[in-house]
Amino acid sequence: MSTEIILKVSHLKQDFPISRKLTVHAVDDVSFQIHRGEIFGLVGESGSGKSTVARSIMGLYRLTDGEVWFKKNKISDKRVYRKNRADIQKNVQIIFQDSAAALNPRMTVRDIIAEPIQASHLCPRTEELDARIDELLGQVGLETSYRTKYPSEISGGQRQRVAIARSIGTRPELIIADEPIASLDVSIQAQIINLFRRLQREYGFAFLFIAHDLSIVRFLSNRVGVMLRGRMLELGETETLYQTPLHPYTKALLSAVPVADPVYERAKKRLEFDPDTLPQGGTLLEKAPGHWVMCPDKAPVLTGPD
Amino acid sequence: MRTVLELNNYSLSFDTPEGEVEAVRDVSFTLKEGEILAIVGESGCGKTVLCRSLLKLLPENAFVKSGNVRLCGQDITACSERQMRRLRGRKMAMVFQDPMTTLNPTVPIGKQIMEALRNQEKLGYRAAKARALELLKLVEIDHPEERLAMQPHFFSGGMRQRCVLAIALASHPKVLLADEPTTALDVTVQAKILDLLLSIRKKTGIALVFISHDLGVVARIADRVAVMYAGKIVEIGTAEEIFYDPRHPYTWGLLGALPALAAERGELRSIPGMPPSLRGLPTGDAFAVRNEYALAIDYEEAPPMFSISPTHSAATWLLDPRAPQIEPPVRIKRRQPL
Repeated sequence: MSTEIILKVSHLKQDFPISRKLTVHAVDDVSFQIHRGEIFGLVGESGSGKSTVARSIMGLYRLTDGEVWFKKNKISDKRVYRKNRADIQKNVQIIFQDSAAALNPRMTVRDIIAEPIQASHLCPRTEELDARIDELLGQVGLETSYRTKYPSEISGGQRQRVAIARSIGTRPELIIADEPIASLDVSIQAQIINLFRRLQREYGFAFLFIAHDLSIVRFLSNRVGVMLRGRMLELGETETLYQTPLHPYTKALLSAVPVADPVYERAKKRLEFDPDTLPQGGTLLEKAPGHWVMCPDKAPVLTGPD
Repeated sequence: MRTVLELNNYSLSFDTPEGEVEAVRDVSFTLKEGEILAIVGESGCGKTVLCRSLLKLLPENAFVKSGNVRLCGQDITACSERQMRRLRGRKMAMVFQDPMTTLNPTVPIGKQIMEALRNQEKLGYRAAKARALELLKLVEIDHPEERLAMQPHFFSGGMRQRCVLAIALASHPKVLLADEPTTALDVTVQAKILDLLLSIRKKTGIALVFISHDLGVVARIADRVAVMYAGKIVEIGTAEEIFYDPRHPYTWGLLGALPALAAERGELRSIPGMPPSLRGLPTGDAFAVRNEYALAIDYEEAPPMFSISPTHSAATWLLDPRAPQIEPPVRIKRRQPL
């Protein structure tokens, strides 16, 4: 991991107008940065806006406010994006939760993996491309016989492997994974997580890992951000955040995670946090080096009335 | 404690054009009043089919191959659809994973709860409404009066699951089959639903068969745990025995795949390969090909259940006195409760 910042999201705001009266504030003033080769975990419950953050970074929405920087370029600016399109498309890849929907059902595994490589003009000669595809299949633990298969012919875990092979094909500098293992079986989840770790070590890409499973994020990430209702409430080094959470919501969230230890689990006191008591405004303050916590603007107490 | 549910060498198969699919093989267990038995295993190991077959909610090509099921002392193995209708809801009810597909989106939830009461208990409108209110209070939904008239889309996922529970509990069943009831929910909501199930058990003395693949959830809720693989129970015991003293290599595999236990090792253990197809199972132990501790005999003969304690047994040849002694690769360290 280096100190070079590969992705910088600052004051990202994403509103979705539903009607003249109603606007959904999906993401509200979210800022974070990811260093080269770092695994950054983003956790939160459904509706917390974590997927919207991923999609906003990918440029799938027009930002309401805020900036997204990739390396030295402000890619949230349309003109800058267009100028650097080749670089961005080669170096930023996304993996979605539902691989069945993400992969084109009419393309073979070979074509699916080849597409981004061809689009980036990386392996101009066919033999070169085929060799690379075989190499990628091997790296994600699939036999080369899978080349001719269609997504519908293979299992969910294998499909997610194909999606991973596709995303690493161009040797990207940043991979965004939106709940990549949520729809998989337990032991398959473990296989895919191990695969991510191994590939990340081999390729050294930065990784934005979005998940609702807190124990997997703890296992995988260097740093973690916790989101609730479109806002980043706490951000810090993984072990610091998991061992000494500061925001009451993080505490409640962590205490709700069941642990595979019956005696401990039955006696455990669960902390509760009502999201409605979350004060409206607030600033992310650095409470300890590298450990940021959302604090209300006026009141010094974390849960005090606004 | 009375035994409410008893399975004896129960086997269930599906008759398909490609041959027989052995979905449940030789399953035996008993469930006592107020007890929570969790069934764990990978997808496709037969947990859901087992539960559905108890209520006879399976397609017509399913047939009971051997064994029997006794519910509150009555043998229900050969019950007709007509007889089953009298048992469903009253003696045994089921909760499914996704509350959205269980509830009718167009009908107010009050009416959906009352439907169960009016059909099964033959209650009048007023009595049914009063009981529906009572049920909504039991599942801890606030403002029940106002909410009786609302359709499911007004409710969050957790509240919907509470409504489904209210319907399942409407006719005082003795056994509740819960098929991954919290899998579709967020962790904080999941924790609340688990607490709710525990409090309902305490209040009503209902027995629960709880299907889950999340061993953390199982640790929270279960008194006893059955580990299923390829349609068979391969290990069964109290929660303490399964988590602190697991004996079957498959249980080791499931526990090893938990991220919390992998932190110091740096790698998640995963069980190699995939669960087998239940069509034309190999001779011997179905787990042998994925089992790094498999012995030669595993490929020839399926292991019997070896008893470790009166409550704990496992089907693995490693427990045979002639087998080599193997140190389990996973150990759950007991922690100090908070």
